Amino acid sequence: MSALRTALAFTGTVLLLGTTLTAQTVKTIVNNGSSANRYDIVILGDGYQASEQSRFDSDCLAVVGKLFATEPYKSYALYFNVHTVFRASKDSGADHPDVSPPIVKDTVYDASYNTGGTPRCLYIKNTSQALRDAALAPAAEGRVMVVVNDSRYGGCAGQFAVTYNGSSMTEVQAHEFGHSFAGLADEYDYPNNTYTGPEPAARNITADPTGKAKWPLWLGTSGVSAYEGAGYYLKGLFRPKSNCLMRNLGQPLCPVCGEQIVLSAYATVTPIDNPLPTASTLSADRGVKLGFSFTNLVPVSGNGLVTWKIDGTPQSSSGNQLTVDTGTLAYGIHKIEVEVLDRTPFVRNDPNGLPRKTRTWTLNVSTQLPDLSAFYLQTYPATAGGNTSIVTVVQNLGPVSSPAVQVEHFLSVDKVISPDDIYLGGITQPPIAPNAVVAPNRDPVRIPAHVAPGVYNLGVVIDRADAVKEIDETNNVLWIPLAISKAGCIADLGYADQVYPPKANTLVGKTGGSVHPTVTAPCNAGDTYAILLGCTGTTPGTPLGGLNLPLNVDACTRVFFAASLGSTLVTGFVGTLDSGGYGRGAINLPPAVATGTLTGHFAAVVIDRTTGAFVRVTDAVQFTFQ
Amino acid sequence: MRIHLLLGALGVAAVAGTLALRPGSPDAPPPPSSALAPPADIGHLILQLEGDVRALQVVHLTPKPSAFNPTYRPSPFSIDLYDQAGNRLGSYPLDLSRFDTDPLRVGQPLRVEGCEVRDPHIAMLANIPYLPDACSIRICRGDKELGRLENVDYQRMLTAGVNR
Repeated sequence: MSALRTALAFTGTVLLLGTTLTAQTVKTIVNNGSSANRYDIVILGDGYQASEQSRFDSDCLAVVGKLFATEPYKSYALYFNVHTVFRASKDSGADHPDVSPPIVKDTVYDASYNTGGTPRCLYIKNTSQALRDAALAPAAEGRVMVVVNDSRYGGCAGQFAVTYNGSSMTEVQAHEFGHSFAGLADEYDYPNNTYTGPEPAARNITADPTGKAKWPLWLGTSGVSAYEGAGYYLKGLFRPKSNCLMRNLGQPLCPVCGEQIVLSAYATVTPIDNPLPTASTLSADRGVKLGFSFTNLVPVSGNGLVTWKIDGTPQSSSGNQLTVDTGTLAYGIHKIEVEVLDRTPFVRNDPNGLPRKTRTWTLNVSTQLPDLSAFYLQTYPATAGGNTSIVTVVQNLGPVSSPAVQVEHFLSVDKVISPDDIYLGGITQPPIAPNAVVAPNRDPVRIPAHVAPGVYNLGVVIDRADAVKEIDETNNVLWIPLAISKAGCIADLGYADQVYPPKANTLVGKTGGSVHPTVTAPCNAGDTYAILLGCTGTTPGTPLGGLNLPLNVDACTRVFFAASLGSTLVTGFVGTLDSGGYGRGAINLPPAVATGTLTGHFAAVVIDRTTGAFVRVTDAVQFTFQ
Repeated sequence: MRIHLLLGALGVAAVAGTLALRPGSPDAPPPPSSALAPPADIGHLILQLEGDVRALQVVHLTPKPSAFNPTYRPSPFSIDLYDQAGNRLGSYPLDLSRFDTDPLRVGQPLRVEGCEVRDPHIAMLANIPYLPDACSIRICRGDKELGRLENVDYQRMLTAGVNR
């Protein structure tokens, strides 16, 4: 059972029919959730004087503790809240009209033994005041417990479940609440009575000597059969089990009684608690993803089965939440439904299907979003280091204009945009009117020299940052094949990073990162290369043999060159061009190691591996550290 | 010199190069972009009913802030809510199973069998939703009306209940 929590709600004094009543105190002693989805039990006390309020409080805790230690209340404790209302009586105890001389007490609800001529039937007479007080609780389902401060054994149940507060109080109240809450019949019998009437309404007694009329699904299991003697008759009425709390105190509830208690709980409570969104009617733009969720109250023993449906079609999710991509739904009204089935072992006979609950949302998918579609893409065979042009056609299929959007191009091996793809840059496309078609062409587009020859996938990606909400987010990419041929006898330095053009790059000290200046000299495979850093510009440059390196060699050059030798963070700045003629430098900087700024350039030189002569120099690329 | 900043950074990073990556938090389902206004569900009323199977009246009502929690208990009795124009706004089953509803027993004292009380005098609480347009309450057994609370009394009780 959840923690008992006490919250003093309020006190007050009312006048009724000229009689001054003492102040009432309302407490919530079990709070398992909103009363909008709980069975709210109210406990009243009678025959407690003001000085005995703490006794009433402890009696209530004992009653509740026993109830929720008893199956199936124990398993379904989360389905209940419990509130108490205390109003002091003038006298302590209850009326005993059947003793001599009679005992008469002035109590707030006028509790009395010998109700209906049955000595142990302890019930209340002032039901009007009891109901009015019960209604002071935050919520009340109608059935009300009453604990009477009297040590003489007794109890009775009707609209109220009444018990004395002696040693058997908790057992008596659990028994009486079985009547009041679940409509269970007494299973005990009186000697020499034989029943000849019609089939009783209560589910736990029957006139059928086989038991099949009431509990056919329990017969032969858990000790259930048809035992003669029930409902105050020794003969002619039958009970499910030899013993049960509805027959004798100190016994557990039999399976048939337990079943009725679970079904009674489900008459008021749904296991689909706290459903979100709270509104049952929703409207969303097409393309938006909506989350639906709830808290599942089904106890572990119930092995709850969750089924989500969209327009009657079961979904793969069987958990407590479902994300609905409205981009997959047509415009108009749709039904989102979750069904929870409590497969509890406590219930076998369930003609009304109470443990199966559903919650439905009505979703109106509206049309107030643009829908950018990569409609057409065309390019021409290209050479690494050379230029091509790309024709792109973008259509806005939505009913409203799109804002300005980025249109970008990539070369990819696998048609999945990832950091190892080659970025070809992009443009900003101005707003596109509804149903309009635009052609944001790019000419020229330079293919980086470091791109190895081969067949790639050229892709256009619209709104890569997902900055524009669209009806359909799945039609923003289009791929076509593109053959890239080998570069000629050039010497190029460029960044093999996703920057365009690949001639400038930045490393941020705060966040860290990588830059990859790459030498491309296809006709010099096997020769030596060195990538040099200069901080003082590219002109006039530095004469190297008959060549001019577009970099002013300076202190930066010397320090960085020395630092790069043997460093694990600066690699590949000096080496041998591979079989494709590539020399791949890299700086890999972890985050948050330095502040400051540096602006410089890289340029590379190629040295003949046999003569040691400078045979090529590259162009310079810009480098910024900040 | 500036280059020392970069080179110093590289050196520090080499020492502290094993920074742990922080895992990303799982994406929660986004809320809806818009929603229609929820129904005017502003709570419920607890009715106190008194009478018998022939005549049953609302003698008190208590407004509550929590939403109405309907109960599934099939019954031939119902509490029906009507608006000013006489349109029925809703019908809610009324469970009288704990009472003696034999018309021939009306006015008789309660009976006790075992520890069960069967009283022909009905005194009970019943919940109904609070519907702003409702202005009368009718208690029915099928088509037969057992009692009603008309607009003036309904508003008076509502106010009295609120003020308590």
